[in-house]
Order: sequence, then C-alpha cells, then structure tokens
Amino acid sequence: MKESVADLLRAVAVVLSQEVLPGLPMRSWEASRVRSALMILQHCEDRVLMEKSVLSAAHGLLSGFLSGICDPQRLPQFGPQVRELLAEVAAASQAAARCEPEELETSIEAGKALLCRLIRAAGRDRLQGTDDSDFRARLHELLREMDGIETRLFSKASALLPM
Amino acid sequence: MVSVQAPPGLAAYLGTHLKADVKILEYKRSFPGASRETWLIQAQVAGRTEGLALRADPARGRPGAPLTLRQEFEVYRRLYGTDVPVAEPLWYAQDVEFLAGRPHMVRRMVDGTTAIAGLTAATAAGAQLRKTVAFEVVEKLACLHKLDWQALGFGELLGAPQSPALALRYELEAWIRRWSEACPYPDPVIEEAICWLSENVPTDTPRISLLKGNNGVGEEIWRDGRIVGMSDWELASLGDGAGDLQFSSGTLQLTSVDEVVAHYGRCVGQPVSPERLAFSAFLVWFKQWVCMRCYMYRSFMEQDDPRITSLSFGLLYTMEARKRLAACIGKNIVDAWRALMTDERAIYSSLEDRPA
Repeated sequence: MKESVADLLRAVAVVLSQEVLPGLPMRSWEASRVRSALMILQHCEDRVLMEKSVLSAAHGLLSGFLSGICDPQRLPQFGPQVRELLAEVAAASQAAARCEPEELETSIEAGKALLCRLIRAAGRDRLQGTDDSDFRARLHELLREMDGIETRLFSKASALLPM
Repeated sequence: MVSVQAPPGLAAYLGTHLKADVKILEYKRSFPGASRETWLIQAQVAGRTEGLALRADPARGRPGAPLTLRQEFEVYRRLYGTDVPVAEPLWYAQDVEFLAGRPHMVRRMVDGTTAIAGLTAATAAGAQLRKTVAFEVVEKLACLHKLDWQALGFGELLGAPQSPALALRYELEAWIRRWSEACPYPDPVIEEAICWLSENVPTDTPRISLLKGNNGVGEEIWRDGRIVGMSDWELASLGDGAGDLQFSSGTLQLTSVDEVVAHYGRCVGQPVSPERLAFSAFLVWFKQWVCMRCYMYRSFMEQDDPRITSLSFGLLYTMEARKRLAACIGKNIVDAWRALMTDERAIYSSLEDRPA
C-alpha cells in the first residue's frame, strides 16, 4: 500500500476543514483563507486524478475541429483574413497530430489562441454579411463540449465558496 | 471580524486630518469585500466616540476592480447629500507616509450592519422579510438610477455613452477593452461570447443612469429594514439600470423575480424589457469574469499578490460565470437567460447557511 498524491492532498484538506475551520469565526478573513485553500486543494486533487484524461479529450476535440474546418467544401465564403488563418490552422492541425503526451497542454493553448483569432476574423466577416451559421453551430458545439470536459477539473472546487 | 493591531501612526494621522486628539478604541477589517481592504475604526475624537472607515488599495497586488480609489472617493463625494444614502467621505490620500503611500480614503461609518437576521428563515415571516428586502434594494437602485448624474459631474468622472440607446453597447465595449488589455491567456469561449453579446445588444434603454455595480444584500448597510448606506463603489459606471438589477447579489431571487423587476419599473418610471434584463445578466457575468481573471488571477500569477483569495476567486470561483456563458452562446438571449434563472445560485443564502 503506497500513498497517492491525491491521498496526501485529501489528508491536508481534512485537517483544514475538520480541525482548523471550525475554530474560526465563519464570517472572517481567516476562515475565508482556509476555504480558499480548500478550494485549491480540491482542484489539485482533481488535476492529479483527471488532468491527463481531460487534456487528452480536449486535445482530441480541438484538433478534430481545427482539421475539420480546413475542408473547403464545408466553409462559407470567408474573407482573406480567415483564409490566411486557415493556412495556419492546417499547419497547426498537422503538428497537433504528432503531439507527444507531455506536449498536450501547450498544443491545446496554441490551438485555443488560433481559434480566438479565427473567431474574431469570422466575426468581422459576419458583419460584412457572410453567412457562417453552419461554421458557428459547429463552433458552439465544440466550445460547449470543451467546456464540459474542462469543467471536470473545476466543478467540485468552484462549487465551494471562498467568502 | 477579528480585531487586529492598527497600523503605526493611525491615531496621529487621523488626528492631523480631523484637527483633534484621537485615540483608537477598536480597529478591525470588514468582511467580506475582496476588491479593496476596508478597516472599521472606533475612535475617540476630541473625547467623543466616532466610527470611521478606512478603505485602501491592497498592500501588494492590484485591486479587484477597474475604478481607482480616487474615482471611488469622488463617487462618494458627489453622492453625499443627495437622496442616495452614502457615508460622509472625509478625505483621500496617496503617496504619504501613512500606509507606506498606499492610496486610501477615510469616510464616516454608517450605523448599521450588512447582514439581515432571519432572511433565510423558511417561514411566512421570512418570506415577507425577503420581499421587503428585495423591494427596498430596488427602490434604492431606482433612486440612484433617476439621479441627475450630469449635474453632479459624473460624466467627467466616469465617461458617459452618447445616448441611452448606446448605453449597453458602450458598457460592453468598455469591458471588452479591459479583457483585451489584460486577459491572462486566450479563451475561445469568452471570445465567442463577446461576439454573441455584441450581436444581441438591446437599444431600448430609456435613460442613462449612474450604476453602482455590485450591490444588494451583503453589500449595503442596513438599519431597521432600510438601506442607510450604499457602500463600495469600485464598479460604478454610467449605463443601463438593468445592470444593477442583475448585479444585486441574489436580490432578484429573494422573492418572485417578475414581481421585483416590476416594482423596480414602477419606481424608476419605465418597465424593464426582457431583452435588457437578459443582456444585462450576461454582461454582469462577463464583467465578473474580467474582474476575477484580469485583476485577481493575473495579480496572483504575476507573483505580486500573496492573497490566496485572489487565486480562489480568479481561478476557480469565476468558472461559474464562464460556464453560463459557454452554455448560452448562440442561443436566443432571453430564452437562455430564463433557463439559467431556474438554477441561479443565491449568494446571500450560501453565506448564512454554510456550515463553518
């Protein structure tokens, strides 16, 4: 029997919540700081337990979306800025496919940065009358799915209150 | 609140400004309030006991909101003496020896409390109290929103939209600028939420109003069932009053939302359209996201800020706002807001009911 990192984090959280917090006035900064520490410990525990699977799933979704949008058959008549970005997207998708497990987080952040630029550029085209409703529907589906996956690392901790 | 030792030189510093002998009787930090530090002081001033509040920027790290403390002080100064209840502001200072030069202001303390006993009681009296409290909050908001802000110089202090029709767009754009200037890392959910909000800005705002920002139960000073002091104006702006309804710390959910909003409409003289109300809800969540990410989280991550609450708010607590935006982008904004209202988390009840 060997302790896991999650076991260690939980041991600290139990001491704080059961032995330290009850001795402090609930509406005080001291108690609030302990509650903040408990939130962060919970988040750490969830990262230890789930971060690899979350990163892998998020990476799969994001790279799948980015490679999918390069298909000219499925794209609306975007302007030159979006077209230029799509060349970057194609290159990034190829790099993402070769990504090592330890590079997942960096690859996701790079993909998100690219996606943000794409969203802004597509938004400008939309103002000029481009109908990108199909692209946007797929984008919204991606964002909701990504949020659902990433939320697994935050949901327990963010349900606690620091105040 | 826990009493702590007053900073060195406090009595002498207060005495210089008040032109009297000052003896500190009690000094404690108020709770909650994470954007700036507020210290409550009981002092003997020329032999008479007086309450004072000292509000300061944090010793390290940045404040959790966009307005400078000087602007906040000016909000108090302009409001004091109007029908909007605020404490009497006394002075603002920075770059002086006291508090190592930190920006700070001193105001008189208002007699009252931020908590309301019995508010969450599951009884008929509790239900009646919740309704009374909700109505009182929106009555005071209506009073604020009807104020002649131009005559009081708020346009120069805070910047104003060109017309009521542009009020919500003006405010959205101000917060997009703050996000663009200080976002810690790219976030496609927020980027698309910005596009979605930009495409859904209502233009039926009837008047430009002075807004308080974060308000309601837990934020204001109450005495005998009435708000006697509206405190902490770090999010004040000129915009659409519906924003304050949605930034009222769960006040709308104290009783029937429709009833509270209708009462506000009667008090202010115009009903609030569902579009304004819905848009304002999402705008408030976006504002919360920006405050917590751009000010609190960033402040902690730049290793300038030792406050663990900056991290818990900025990294974790804020995820609730993002989750709401992610769930709703692309949908009809009114329908999306109504769906969310059914599971709204009321902060006031969490405060009272949470076990220690």
